[in-house]
Amino acid sequence: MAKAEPTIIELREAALSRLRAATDLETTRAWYREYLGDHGAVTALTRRVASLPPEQRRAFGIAVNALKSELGAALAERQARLEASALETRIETEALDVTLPGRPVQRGFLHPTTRIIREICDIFGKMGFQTVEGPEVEYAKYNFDMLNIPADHPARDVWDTFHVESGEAEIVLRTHTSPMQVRTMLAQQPPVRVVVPGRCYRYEATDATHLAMFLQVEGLAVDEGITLADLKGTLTEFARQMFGPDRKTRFRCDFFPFVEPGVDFAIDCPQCNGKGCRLCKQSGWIELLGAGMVHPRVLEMVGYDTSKQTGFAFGMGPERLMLLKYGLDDIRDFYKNDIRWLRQMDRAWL
Amino acid sequence: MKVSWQWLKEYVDLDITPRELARRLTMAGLEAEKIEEIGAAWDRDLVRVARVKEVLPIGGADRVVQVILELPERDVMVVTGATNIRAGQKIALGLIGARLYDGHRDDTILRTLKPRAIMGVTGEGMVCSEKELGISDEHEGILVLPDDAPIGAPLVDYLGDTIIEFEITPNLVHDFSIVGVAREAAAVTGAPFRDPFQRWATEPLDAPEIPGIVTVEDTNLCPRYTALVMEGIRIGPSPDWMQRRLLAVGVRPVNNIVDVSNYVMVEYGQPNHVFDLDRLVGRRLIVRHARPGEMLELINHETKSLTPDMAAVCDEAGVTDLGGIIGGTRSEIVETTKNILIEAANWEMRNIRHTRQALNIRTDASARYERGLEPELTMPGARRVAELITQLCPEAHLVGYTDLFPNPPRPRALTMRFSKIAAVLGTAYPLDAVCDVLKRLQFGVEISGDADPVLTIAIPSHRADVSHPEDIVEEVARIIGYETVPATMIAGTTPHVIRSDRWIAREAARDAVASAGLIEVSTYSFTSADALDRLAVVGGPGAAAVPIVRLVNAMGEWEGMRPTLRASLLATASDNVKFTSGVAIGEVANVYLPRESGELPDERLTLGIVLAGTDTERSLGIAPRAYDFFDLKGIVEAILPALGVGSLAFVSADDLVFQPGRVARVSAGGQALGVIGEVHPRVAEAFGLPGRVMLAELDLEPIVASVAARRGELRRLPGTSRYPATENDFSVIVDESVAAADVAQALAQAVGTLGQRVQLFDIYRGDQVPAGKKSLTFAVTMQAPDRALSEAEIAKVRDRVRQALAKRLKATLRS
Ligand SMILES: [Zn+2]
Repeated sequence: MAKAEPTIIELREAALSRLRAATDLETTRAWYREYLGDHGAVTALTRRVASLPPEQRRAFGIAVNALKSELGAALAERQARLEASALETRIETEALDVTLPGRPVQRGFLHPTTRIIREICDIFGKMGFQTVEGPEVEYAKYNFDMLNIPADHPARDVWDTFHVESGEAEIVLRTHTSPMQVRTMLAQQPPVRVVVPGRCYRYEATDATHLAMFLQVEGLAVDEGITLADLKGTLTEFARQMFGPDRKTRFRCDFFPFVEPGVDFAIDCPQCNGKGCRLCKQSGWIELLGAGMVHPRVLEMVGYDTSKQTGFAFGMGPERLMLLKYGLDDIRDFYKNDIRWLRQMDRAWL
Repeated sequence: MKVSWQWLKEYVDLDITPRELARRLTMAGLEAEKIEEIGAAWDRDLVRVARVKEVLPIGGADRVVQVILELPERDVMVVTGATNIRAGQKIALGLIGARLYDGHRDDTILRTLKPRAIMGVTGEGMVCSEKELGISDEHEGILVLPDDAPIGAPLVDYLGDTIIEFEITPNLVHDFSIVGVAREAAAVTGAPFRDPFQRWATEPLDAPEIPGIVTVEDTNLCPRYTALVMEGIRIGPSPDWMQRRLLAVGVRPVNNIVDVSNYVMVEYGQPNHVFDLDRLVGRRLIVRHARPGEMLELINHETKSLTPDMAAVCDEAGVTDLGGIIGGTRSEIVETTKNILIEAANWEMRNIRHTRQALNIRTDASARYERGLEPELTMPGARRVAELITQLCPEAHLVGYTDLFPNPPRPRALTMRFSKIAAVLGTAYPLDAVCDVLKRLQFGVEISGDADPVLTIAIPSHRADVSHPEDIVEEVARIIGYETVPATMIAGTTPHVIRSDRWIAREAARDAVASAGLIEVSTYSFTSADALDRLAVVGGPGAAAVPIVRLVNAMGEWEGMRPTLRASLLATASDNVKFTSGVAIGEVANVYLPRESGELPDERLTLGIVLAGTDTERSLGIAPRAYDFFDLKGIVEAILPALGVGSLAFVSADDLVFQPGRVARVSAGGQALGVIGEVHPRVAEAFGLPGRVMLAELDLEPIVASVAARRGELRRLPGTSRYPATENDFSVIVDESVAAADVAQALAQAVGTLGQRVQLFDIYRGDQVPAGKKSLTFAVTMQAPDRALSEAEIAKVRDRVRQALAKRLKATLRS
């Protein structure tokens, strides 16, 4: 037995010194197999217990177990230290040049007309206006006659019109989304509160401020007790939401055949703050939209009771709105679809 | 319409500035579009009236002369090349330091006059042309002032004026004159209006009636015809004050008679025409319908062919004048005219509009008539013409008149409750304020009842635009001022819900387009024969064969509404490829398919996509790759499920816009949606697109319909499992001819409900597989809702797959 004691000690010394010498995890794993694995030296010691005299077995067993746990702890510690230093080394070697370019992502985005239409409809949506749509190719009856714009009336000249080849029924490219006023009221009893976005067309030479195809958002509210003051409040709120609370607004008399009283709604020129410049033709004001109280003749033609119902209507040009809001100078850019320009608009939006 | 401030002040006393009046009228509905101040730049001390004392030649110069000018305090010497300068003339003198325009440049920049030697002589200033003063473009000679111009006076005092240009909307015929604007100015300012018409209503017409000098065959065409006959006319220039006023409002002076005629139209708003009575065959006029094919040479020397719906003013030899629009050459005033017939008539507004549209002539007269001029104005207009002619030609005298007015309209009135005003405006004005406004606008008002008085309102003849109580409400509000209307929000009941499924579907599609990495574009709805023919360069129907919604009035090459998005998107891609290495665009918009005649076309919501060039710019760690069919297919497979469309099928198709073999028809649940593919190289070339181009066009109408159909429907989700998913590879060896989609489908079926995803990720041909076969490797993700899958279960699935594939596709599973 005297021979067994030094064996454990020798083994311990040798093992610990070998472990201290291990500089990587792989060596420690080999070390584990050599000493603590199923065929390792310490495990072999354990097996020798059986060959010892019974009175020595207990002490030997305690000594071997102590060695086993000591070596185990030493291994864990050594491995932890090696892992920590390996991680340290990895971190040291993996430093990036963070100024290298990010991997490009193909980000898609919406056309500015889509965004402005949604913005307009959202603002009115919060005031209870629902979005509806109508056909772009429309009966003249809805585009003109039922809006109190009879044939052979000079009011028709305000709209240079594309006519479509058709049979008896006169068909045009709608010159505004206003015919949807008529369609909505024919389909629906009051109260009605809608906005109508969509493409419109005018037979007009295209230049920096005119388009043969453009967008319009029409609004209509009909109910008992709706007043011009309600129109003023609604439009003022819209202008505040769209252009910020500091813009001044102007509400003046104007003529549109389907409203009476008629209104021209303007904001003070965002480019010169009302002082007068080329954009506002020195007037200090920019006309935003036409509006007014729905003409009693329009209400009569759709069969509404004009003794009870009143309403207001308005119509605006979203492209023009964007020209103002973003200081653009050529309305044609919206439909040129130059990707570089669209990207600039996308980035300028918020 | 241009209005001269000086002229306006003859009819209304105004103590505000022209600019302030313009602002107030604009607020009240008569919009001032432009304000032009004549003489605003003329320095009072440096631009003055002077008299030409002497014109002296300069030695060696044949055109340039030295001029001695008289001012009250001293004489001034200038040098000029103007050939119309004569001693004794009154002229406009600009002294050194005056700010003037350059008569020889096309710009409108004011420049300060500096001393300059001409032929060695340096003058103290210059004699000015109209252009240099900024009055007109006339720069050939100097401006010669009338004899009454006071020597030394600042020119601005003598010639200065403010011209306000108003927009006359279709309802504002009553403002289409100096007097009309004066009336309006009086109403908005409260200043007194000097109404000229009252004089004509009370002053008797001192001349006999001449029966038969005018015959009106159809009073529907011409409700009133007033004619005055004058003798003793002597044609000559009109006086300077009249010429100046006409020029100020944009009318070119001609001679005294024509100038008076124009002057009265501008002043009273009554168009009128002066005939040379001696040139009228039979010395009388007949107003009748034109005869088919009747020709008329107009005073602008165009010859027009008339139709029977037009109003012809004729003498016994035939038509001589187009009633209410323009005169003819045959009876116009000439140098030798002695005796005249002054016509001031009223013409039916719709007919005037119709005629001027048919003949494509727009005149100051037709602009007034087609807005519905009052017939009451003809006699005052004619008499004002005669009055001014008498002033201008002292020998002229009135010899007779006729006034054919068989059906004078009855005075009109309307009644309304006072409360109507507040009900429409949302604010109440005092009754006396309302009455005051209406009286200033020359309405008559009677009030009856107390609690809510009834107003009986007599409508003046010049206000044909007023017929409804709402019109009166507008009159009151615009004169008191729209700024007094408060801003409130709608108080009423919640409106009905009207949901637009089309809007919802379209906007969702647009979001899906952008989410898929595409840039949304918006292109014109029009199409052209050229665009349709480019699509058909390989074959298929071109412009001649594709039915489109056709425009009656085409605009340039835009002949109709596009039946497809293809051409618009290919053209847009083509516009962009010069500037960028890759184009990935999508549009969600309508195409227009014709229906039966008289019906509105079918407007179909459509999605178009074009990919061209490479998928990215060159960058570190990324190799740009040319877009191919599968990029496009992947995008479509990403977009459509986001719109509620599942189980897509792609079937090889024929479409001559695409490269054969690289085009597929897309459908979902048997519903055809459209076509995707690689554009035929020749079609791409036709659109100027180099390289490979991918194009998709999908009909979104089924999606609109399904959004509508699924409205309010309860959606049940399949749910997700909380047990781990396992991914296994299945390599299937199959004949080359078998489509990958068939293998995937068979595989998915065999895997059964445990399968979450079956995705092909590798295709192998080569040594490892027999000739004529390919190996398709799928990643199959499996998961059970209620347990973790065991190795044994997965092995069972593998067996099932092996058997199914062998049976259905004669395929084997590689282990
Ligand atoms: Zn401005």
